[in-house]
Amino acid sequence: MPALTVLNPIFVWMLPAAALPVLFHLFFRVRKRERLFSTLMFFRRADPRLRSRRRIREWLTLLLRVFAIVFLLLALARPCWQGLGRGAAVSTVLVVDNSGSMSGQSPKGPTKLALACEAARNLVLRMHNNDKAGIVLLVNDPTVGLPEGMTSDRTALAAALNDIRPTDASGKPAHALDRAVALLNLAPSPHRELHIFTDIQVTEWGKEAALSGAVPFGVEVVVHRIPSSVSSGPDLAVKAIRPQQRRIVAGRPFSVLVEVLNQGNSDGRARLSTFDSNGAGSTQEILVPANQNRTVSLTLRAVNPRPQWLQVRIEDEGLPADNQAYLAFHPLGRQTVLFVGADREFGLLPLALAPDSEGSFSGLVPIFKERSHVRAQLDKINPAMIVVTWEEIADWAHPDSAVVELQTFVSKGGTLLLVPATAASTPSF
Amino acid sequence: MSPNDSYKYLPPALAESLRNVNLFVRRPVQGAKQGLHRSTQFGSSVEFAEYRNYVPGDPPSRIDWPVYARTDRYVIRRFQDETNLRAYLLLDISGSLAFRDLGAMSKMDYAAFLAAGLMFILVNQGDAVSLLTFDRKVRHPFPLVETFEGLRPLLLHLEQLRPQGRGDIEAAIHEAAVMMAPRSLVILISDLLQESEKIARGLRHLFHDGHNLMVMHVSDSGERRLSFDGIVELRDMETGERMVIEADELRPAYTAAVERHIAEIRAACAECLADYRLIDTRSSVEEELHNLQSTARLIY
Repeated sequence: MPALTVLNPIFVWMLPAAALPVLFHLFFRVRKRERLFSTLMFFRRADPRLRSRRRIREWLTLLLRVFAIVFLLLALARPCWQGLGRGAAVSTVLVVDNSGSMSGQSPKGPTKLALACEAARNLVLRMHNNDKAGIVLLVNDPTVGLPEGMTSDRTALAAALNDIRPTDASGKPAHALDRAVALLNLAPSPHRELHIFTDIQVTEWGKEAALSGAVPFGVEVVVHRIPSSVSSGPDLAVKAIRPQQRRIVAGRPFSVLVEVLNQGNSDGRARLSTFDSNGAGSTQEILVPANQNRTVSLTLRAVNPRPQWLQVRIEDEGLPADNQAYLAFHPLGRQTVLFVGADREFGLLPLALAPDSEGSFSGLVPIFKERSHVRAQLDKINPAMIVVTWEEIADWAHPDSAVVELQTFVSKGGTLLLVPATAASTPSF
Repeated sequence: MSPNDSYKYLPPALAESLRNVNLFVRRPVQGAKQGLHRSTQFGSSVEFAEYRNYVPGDPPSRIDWPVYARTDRYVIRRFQDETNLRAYLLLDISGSLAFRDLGAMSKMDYAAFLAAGLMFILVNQGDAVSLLTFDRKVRHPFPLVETFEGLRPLLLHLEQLRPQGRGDIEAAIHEAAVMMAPRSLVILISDLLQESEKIARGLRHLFHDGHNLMVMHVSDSGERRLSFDGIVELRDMETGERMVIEADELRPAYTAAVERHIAEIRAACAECLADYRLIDTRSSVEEELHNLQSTARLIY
């Protein structure tokens, strides 16, 4: 049923100001100058309609002023009829929140996402033949076959809604609404609606984000809030996963910190499991007090110098969406450090870079070559760093191929280390 | 009482200046004794009236011999008799007379001065005078007086007058007409703020009764031409009615209405052979009273 609404309700609250002209008239009325006069008969002869005409004119002027104020305020309030033109086609965009929080239970039993999709399906089934609808997901899920743009095909729309599955990701409402607005701007019919099905998680919807474009004027926006079930027990979630703040070297152990949050009203006991891309896994028991965080340190070993991932999961906990986190990392293989000159010229530096000559501790392997072999080594290996003594550089009086190669190496981002020559001997282990 | 006694509305200086002022009327009057005015009766005065046939017993000295020489007929000249005047002053004391704007005094005060001066002139020239005050009816009719002593209560009464109430000139005239002796002089002193047709009816009544009429229209110039401007709420001094007007917008039409009213009154007076005088309260009372004499002589 069409209903009158206003876009700027504050001006409706100001409508009593329309009575101001009447108040002013009454107030100033008593302040006219009064004067005794011998007779009024000549005034009536001058204008027989004088008294009545003046009063009528006064009241008309007053009425006009009141109407002017009322119409101005109503215009500023921007009234609009919602539901007008129901006989014509309606264009509807359905924004479905498929973020991780929607996989949680609703008070009625089904998941929140299930309820959202059911409500959206009901809207689709009530569409008229000329109506059009489109679907936008809060989390872009390419596995869901959404109809292109706006369509009148209720079957396709219902099928798409049936395909929607919960994701583990957090939604970006601003992006989703931008896509919805883009669809609405292309909608042909004058009556447009935007329906949002969500549990309005603060972590997603509470972030301030500006839409790239304004919602078109006259669009009816309806938010269907799906309530979450209230739990009295613990509520564990993986809040963050952070690797060590240093290089991860293949073959070397490294640590990962996992921060677990308990937002429930009771202590949470669960198992924290890990599983990596190499098939290795681990499990440990954790206890997180109510309304507190706990940081768990995991020690892992990266075997190969290639991209890998790690999954951390809290087992046996209600909402799986926030119970797991992934970490992608790329361990580094051993790298070469090219020393130009003999080892004795560099003192303890080679030992410092690689306590064992095979780079087991640092991932760095020192090799020593004469200046004449620099170019060949650069072609053969890609050293992480080139170390040259000052004396060696100073000895290069005029440019030769080695100097040119070093310049090229540095210009391409390579690290060149200049150190003073030293006679200190390197102890052996 | 002597003519030198001081009254508010007849100070000695005014009385002294009016001693030689005489007031005449145009129509014959019916008086009680010999006076300055033409009588309706025939007598042996010097003014020829008509001829009649000689009858035995008439004095031969009254035979008009030139007529006999021409016609061989014996005829007697008849002459107008002269008698004194009975004058009635109808003084308006309705609420509108309290108005004062541009004048030196209120209309009531001015009218009272006029009334006092007229009564003095009339008594001074040997005529009888009476005062009848009215608003919508005659309030206080005094008997005719012929002496200065007799004038005293009338002059004292003038000093007690307080203009109030609604006025009805026509009704008062009709009421006063039965109180007055026929063929007298009636002087109406009023601001004439009533429909001209009604005033005319009253004047016609008096005219048909054979009276000589004099209408003294007392007016403040501020009520003929509005002296104020802007939006004003007016209150009628007699009825209490209120009206909000914008003076600047209304002034031309108002002035025209007043002038139309004066013209209608003037025409009504002319129809009744009444002597009409529009008197501005800014003018001197003494001058206006002196003007009565000069105008009267021009008419006759």
